[in-house]
Amino acid sequence: MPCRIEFSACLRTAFVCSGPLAAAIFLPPVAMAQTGMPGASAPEAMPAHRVAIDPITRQIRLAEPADMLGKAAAQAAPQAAAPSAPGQAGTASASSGVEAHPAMKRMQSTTSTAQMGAGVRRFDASSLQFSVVKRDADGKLSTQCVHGDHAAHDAVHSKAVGVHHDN
Amino acid sequence: MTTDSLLKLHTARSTANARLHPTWLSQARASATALATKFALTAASTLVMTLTLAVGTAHAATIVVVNIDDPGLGFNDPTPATPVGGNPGTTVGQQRQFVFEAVAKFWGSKLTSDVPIKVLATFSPLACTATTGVLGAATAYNLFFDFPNAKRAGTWYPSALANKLASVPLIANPDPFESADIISFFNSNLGKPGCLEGASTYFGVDGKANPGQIDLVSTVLHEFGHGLGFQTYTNGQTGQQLTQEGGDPAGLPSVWDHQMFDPTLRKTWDVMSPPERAASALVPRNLVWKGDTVTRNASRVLQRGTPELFVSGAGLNKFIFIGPAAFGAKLDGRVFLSAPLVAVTDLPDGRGLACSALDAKNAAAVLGRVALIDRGDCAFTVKVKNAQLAGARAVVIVDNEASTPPAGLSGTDESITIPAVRVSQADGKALKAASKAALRPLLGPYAVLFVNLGKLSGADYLNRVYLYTPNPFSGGSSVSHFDTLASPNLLMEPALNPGQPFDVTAPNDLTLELFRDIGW
Repeated sequence: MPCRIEFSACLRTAFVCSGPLAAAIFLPPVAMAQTGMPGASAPEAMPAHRVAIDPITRQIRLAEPADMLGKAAAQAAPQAAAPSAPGQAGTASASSGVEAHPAMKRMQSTTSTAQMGAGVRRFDASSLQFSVVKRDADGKLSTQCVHGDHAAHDAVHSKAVGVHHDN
Repeated sequence: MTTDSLLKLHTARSTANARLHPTWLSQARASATALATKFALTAASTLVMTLTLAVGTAHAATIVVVNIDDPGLGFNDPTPATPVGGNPGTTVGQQRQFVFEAVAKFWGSKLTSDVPIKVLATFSPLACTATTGVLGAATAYNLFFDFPNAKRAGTWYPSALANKLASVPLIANPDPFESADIISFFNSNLGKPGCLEGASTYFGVDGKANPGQIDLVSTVLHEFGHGLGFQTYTNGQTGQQLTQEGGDPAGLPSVWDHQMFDPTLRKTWDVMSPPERAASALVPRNLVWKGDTVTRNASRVLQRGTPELFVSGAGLNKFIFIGPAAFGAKLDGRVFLSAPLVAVTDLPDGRGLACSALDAKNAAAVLGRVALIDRGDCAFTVKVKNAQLAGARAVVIVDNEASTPPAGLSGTDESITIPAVRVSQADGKALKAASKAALRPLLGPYAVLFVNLGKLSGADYLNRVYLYTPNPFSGGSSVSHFDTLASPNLLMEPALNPGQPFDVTAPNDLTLELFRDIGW
């Protein structure tokens, strides 16, 4: 299911994404100009210019009627494979919830092939830098950085890691 | 005043007065153009200004936030919201978008690149309990080595920086799931039932979050910093370098590793063995960033003077790591305090918590002296205030967690006028033993609390800024952050600090200077 980009007065560009993993993009005008996208020079308030990412070529193009038809269905559908409920997210798999995120699966399904002879390596959930927020007995919030999906899970579930600015 | 000076002055004032708002630079440039017209510039000076503006805009990086949330969720959450602090969004989703856009534009205005930087971003339910939750996460998505124009061979670079140096996207496929530079996940459930319920996230971009709020701008600014390259990809705990898939198991150094210098070993991380790196990551306030740009600008950002605690007598003669308090007498060049150190004891097990007014015995013991008090059970400010009321001249809080260097002491109480610091559990144990072993307080131990004006706060004697290397190792915090001793607080410390300015460069911060050192 393709994604569409809509232009709105409020947020410069808007983004309607359909399908379980479709990408919606909000691009500032400068970026649009650099990508050569249709509407790149349009003023912010210009309404309803829609483009889509072609599901086959992955190229951005003007939206077609078929693209628009997919929107309603996508909005009605629940987010595919959403992580578990608050307080339970990641508990069973000792994950922060990131590993189970549909986007991670999409990322893992692709490979990185660099051009110009460069060596490349893809990062994954174990490489993420997490900010974890904690509320102490006085209600004060403090944050800490932890590294990796499983460490974030441990931090949330009270295994001491990182620094706390509390009492 | 010449028109050139007018331009410089106006631009400087604009950026200094409003550090984050995404329209500053454009406003400054538009105003400069208006000024040029108003003052009828000569052709020559107009050319100079035009060139100046062109240099300022031609290579500014464009950071594209790619919203991967489905309709009605995350960035598209339609829950109504009231515009706040310069954020005009009228739904939760719009406000999230605005913050990300603002931060992206801000970072983009500070960096240069001909290749747009793509950030895959989502707000989704992440791990959470009633008291703790994942706020967000980010990292560089792809890493490269040996690309055209790489400044160091055989070295891992984050994608955004590698693309900038190569001047082309090193992954040609435009699919953001393949060629993104940064991935970021933020928790959409914070504040909801079961997930830090009631915790408030501040979506304003004016830096006016209340102390009890989560400041989303600060968090996103920090996480983008990691994604843009503020981290090593070498495992600090094992010392193992990141390997190429199917490549040499010895791995390759990260671009960071060339600038991480251990003065004790006299080596940078790129030339150390894995055991040396692992050991280096465990020595507090030793590992420094040796890059020229950070070092040259450190004195513009960090205050002159490092608070130090020296303890003498009773078998102790040593400097002890301390974490200064956010309240009480500021430890500056005017503080020089020398007094006997006396342990408070108000529990049967020998600890002294000082959570209530000191009894007569403890009050007499701490009068005119430095009170040694255990962490726990009540706020730091309560402990220090009770010691102050009993006549103590300063307070040393002994940590109850086995970690060094000790963090600072948080809290606010304007009625506290004496200085306070935290020491590690191990050092505190030694201090308490010495205090209790002393026959009389006047025989020691003596605490000398002063500010070493030979060092910047957060740097060594050569102005090389310390990296955070606690013991035990703290995954995610260790090595890839500035040390918590830095004062004023820096953006890329391991914990977000309240009151931190929204900036990434001198005179407010050193993140951009570090980026310059790695090739940005």
